[in-house]
This record gives sequence, structure tokens and C-alpha cells, in this order.
Amino acid sequence: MTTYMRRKVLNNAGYVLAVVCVILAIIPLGAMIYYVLKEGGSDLTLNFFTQTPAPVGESGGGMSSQIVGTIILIIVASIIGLPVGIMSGIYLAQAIGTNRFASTVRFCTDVIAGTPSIVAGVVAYAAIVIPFGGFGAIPGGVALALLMFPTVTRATEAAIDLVPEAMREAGLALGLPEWVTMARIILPAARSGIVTAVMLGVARVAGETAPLYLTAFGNDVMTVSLKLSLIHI
Amino acid sequence: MHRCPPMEEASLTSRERVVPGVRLAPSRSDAAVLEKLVTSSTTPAEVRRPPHAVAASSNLGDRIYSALTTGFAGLVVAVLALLFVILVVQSRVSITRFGFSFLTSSTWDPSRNIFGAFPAIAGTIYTSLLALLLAAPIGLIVAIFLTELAPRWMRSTLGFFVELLAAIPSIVYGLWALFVLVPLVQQHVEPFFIGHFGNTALFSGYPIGLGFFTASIILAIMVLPTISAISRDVMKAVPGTQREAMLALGGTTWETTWKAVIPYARSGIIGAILLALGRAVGETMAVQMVIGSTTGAFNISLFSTGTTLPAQIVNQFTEATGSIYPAALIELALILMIITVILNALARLLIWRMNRRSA
Repeated sequence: MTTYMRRKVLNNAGYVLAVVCVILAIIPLGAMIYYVLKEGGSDLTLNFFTQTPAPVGESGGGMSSQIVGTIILIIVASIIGLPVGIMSGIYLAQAIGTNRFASTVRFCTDVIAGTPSIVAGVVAYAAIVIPFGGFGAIPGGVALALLMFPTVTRATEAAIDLVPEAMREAGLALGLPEWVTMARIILPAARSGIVTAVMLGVARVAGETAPLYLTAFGNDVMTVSLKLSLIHI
Repeated sequence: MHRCPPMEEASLTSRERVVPGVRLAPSRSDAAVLEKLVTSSTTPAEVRRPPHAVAASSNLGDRIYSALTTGFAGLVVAVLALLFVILVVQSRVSITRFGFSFLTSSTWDPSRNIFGAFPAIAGTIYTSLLALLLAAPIGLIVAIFLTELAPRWMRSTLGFFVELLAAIPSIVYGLWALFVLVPLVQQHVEPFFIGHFGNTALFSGYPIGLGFFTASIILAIMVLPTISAISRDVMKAVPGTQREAMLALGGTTWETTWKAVIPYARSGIIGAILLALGRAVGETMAVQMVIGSTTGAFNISLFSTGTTLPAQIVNQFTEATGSIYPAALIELALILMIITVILNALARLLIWRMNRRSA
């Protein structure tokens, strides 16, 4: 085989290998979706969304308390995590490039972003459950907020960076103070990016289980109070 | 003037992955910066705004705004410091009791209050390395396919599906692994290997399906989108001139990728792999369901059950009573956090260096 033919065969073999790898990567996705739909699809009745779980051993019942619990936890986590995330994102976006403090904040955000979810749960447990006693939505919300806010910070900073500098300078040229240009010009321009940032943050924590194992585990009864234990889906 | 190829639309997810924090020195002229901002919709991390001051203003609103944003940013730093302080303080009892032998001892006996983390640490490292061994080649080749080989119309859809893997909650992975993967491995894979290689240390054991092998597979599936997505980003950042030069010299597509693009993106790809390692180390729910969660000594066989740091914590935390038991578990969390921080810092350093080089 000439060198030319060998290189050509190698090229085509590489292409085939790449296609095989992509199929290998997509197969688990398809298998998982298929399995979840097949096993669980038949149970998605109206009961599922409106009834609380039946006692052990009986059939029927639903998951409404768990769904409500999930929503409550996401709301609590957002209340704690979103202001921190968005404000830090704004700070990082408008900080001078050589600012040492901004670099430190960015580094810390990245470190917290890499925290394993179980460690966030342990920290929330140690910080809130041990001193104050109760499990429930508040320590669970704190753990989720810890996981949520770095994502929101980074995405908010990216969204604000996308706004052209000319808009900010136009606002300043008109005599507006910095905070008015940020609030009235730049943030509305970055609005869709910030909404995406919030959605990314919520998506990050909506599926978390491990931190809630330690902080918010509880009962199946429908509870809306923040103090009582909730169970997460 | 050299005409730039059309830039791709900025997507927040890809921006989010590129490490922010690389800023050009403010010596670039403002005009050049503005032109780049206005003409491209992608502002890579290298393009920066000219410096300006916010806090030194006589306007009250400005001072409040500056204080507010700086305060929240400072809160971030405080939270990180507090995180480590809480972990150390709460595990103090265990640290003083066991000292360094906590890391090397294999005894985990809650009834006698003797704890040792070695099986958990070894299990964590073992499963994560195995997962990377599986996921890194496949993830890298998927990334190559998505940036170089696939037809343009296919790239974004396929990329979307690969990244969808990252969006699935880990508990769903765990349940699927438990109900589908474990029986599959137990009935088809393990009997074959145990039958033929059962007397070697690596393949000994009984076919139960649970164990390091299954855990590594599910971990590999979970970290593959991370490797693929970041590698895609760093490969896209390789300047087109590299590829064009290789093609002009008569290289095939495959050769271009391996000889022109990959060496250029090498540190970024290694950073991606390290980042994926950091994710694999911290993964809890999926691993906990398929690893068997035994607290005995670490066995190197692929098919033996074991435990990892996160699985150990989550399994026993709710039953931990007394003062040493929870402290030992919190010390496990501290070890896990330190490992993750080191891996992430290394990874970001490498990716940052890669971005810097391509600027």
C-alpha cells in the first residue's frame, strides 16, 4: 500500500471511529429517556400531581407533596442565592481588569462552583442544623443556594460583558450616574442573558439530591411551612 | 485587511465554561477594543473594557451601588472562608483523635468509634480514574467530531444532545444504572470475565453487578459531556490559520486534527480532563447506588464492592450519633473538598494558560 493510500485509509478509519464514539455517547441518553418514559409514563395520571403518597403497601396516591416540596426548596434557594449571584456578577462585570479583589472574588466563585453537592449539604448541616436544631427548607435552601450562586454569578458576568461598552458610555455622556446607567441601560440590555443565568442556576439545583438528604429530609405529608421537614423529589 | 471568518453566535453555556478571569492589560487602545466589541457578538474572555472607576463618586446612589455590589462580592469570599472553617471546626474532634492515621487506616467501626478513611479515598480515586480512562478518549473524539468532522448542519443539534447528558439529574442516572446497568453487567459482563480471568486480582469476585466496574461506567457517562464540551471550546479557539496551513501542506482532515489542532489545544484538553476528574470525584447519588457501599478494606478487583467518599458520607450521615461519628464523616467531607479544590485549581490553570496562548 502506498503512503498516500495508507493516509487515506487512516483518514476514513478515523471518521468511522468518530461516528462510533458519538453513537456510544448518545446511546445512554436514549436508553435513559426510553427507560424512564417506559416505566414511569403510564403513571403520569392526574392523581400523580394532586394526591399525597399513599401509606406503605397501598397502591394509588401521588407525589404532590414532593412536587410542592421541590418548588418550595427552589424558591428558598433562589431567595438566598440569586441576589448574591446577580450582585457579584454585576460587580465582576464592572470591575477594573487589574483589581486584585475582583480576581480573588472570581477565584472564590470558581472554587465554590466546584464544591461537591454532598459537601454543600454537610456545610449547611453544620452551619444551620447543628446550631439551630431543625431540619427543613431553610438549611436545604442554604445548601442549594451555595450550589446555585456561582453558576448565576458567572453567567451574569458573561451576560453583562456582552452589552457593548458604547451603551454605558452613552449613558455616562448624558450625565447619568453609574448606578442609573447600570440599572436603566445595561441591565435591561442584558436582561435575556440574566434570565438565562437564573435558569441555569435553577436547573443546576433542581435535580440535586445529596445535599437535601442531610438537611431537608422528612415526611410525606403536605407541608407548606418552612420550619417543618420536607421531602424532596 | 484579513477578513475574519464569521463568528459563531455567543451562547451563554459556552461562555460560562471558558474561564473568566483572563484580562488583557489595559494597554490596548480603546478604539481597538470598541471595534472588536461592536463587530463581533462573541466577546471572548480576552477582550476587556477600558478601566474606569465607580466608587470614587460624589453621587449617593453611586456609593450605595458600589457598596452593595462590593459587599455581595465580599460575601462570596467570606462564604468560601466560612466553608472551610466550618468543615475544620466540626471535624476537629476526629482530627485530634485520629490524626494522620485517619487517611491510612482501613477500620470503619462506629460501635467502637474507630474510623479510617483509606477505603473511601482509594475507592474514590479508583472509580474516578477508571471513569476517566473510559470517558476521556470517547469525549475527546466526540469533541473532534463536533468541531472538525461533522457537517455544519449537524454540529449544533448533535452538540445539544451530548450536552443534554449533562442536564440529567444524577439520581436519574443512579436509578437507571441500578435497574438497567447492574443486571446487564451482572448477567452478561461479569460471568464472562470471572469465568476466563477469575484468578487474577483484577477480575476476581462474585457476579453481583454492583461494584467498581458499574460505578466507573456510570461515572464515565456522567463526565463525558464535560470533557466533550470544554474540549470543543478549546478546539474552537485554535486559530484557523493552523488548520489552513496543515491543509495547504496536503494533510488529510484526520492528520490536520491530530497534528495541528490537538497539540495546540493540548493544555486546554488536559484541563478539561482534570475538570472532569473533579466532577467525578464529587459525584454522590449515582455512585452510591451502584457501588455496593461496603466499609471493608479496599479490594482492587473491578467487580468487588466498595465505597467512595461521597457515598460513605451520604449513607451514614443520617444515622451518625455521638460526637466522633459525625466528626469523622465531616472530616471525610473536608478531605473530599480539598481534593476537589486542588483538581479544579489545576484544571483552571491549564485552561487559562490555553486561552492566554491563543489570544
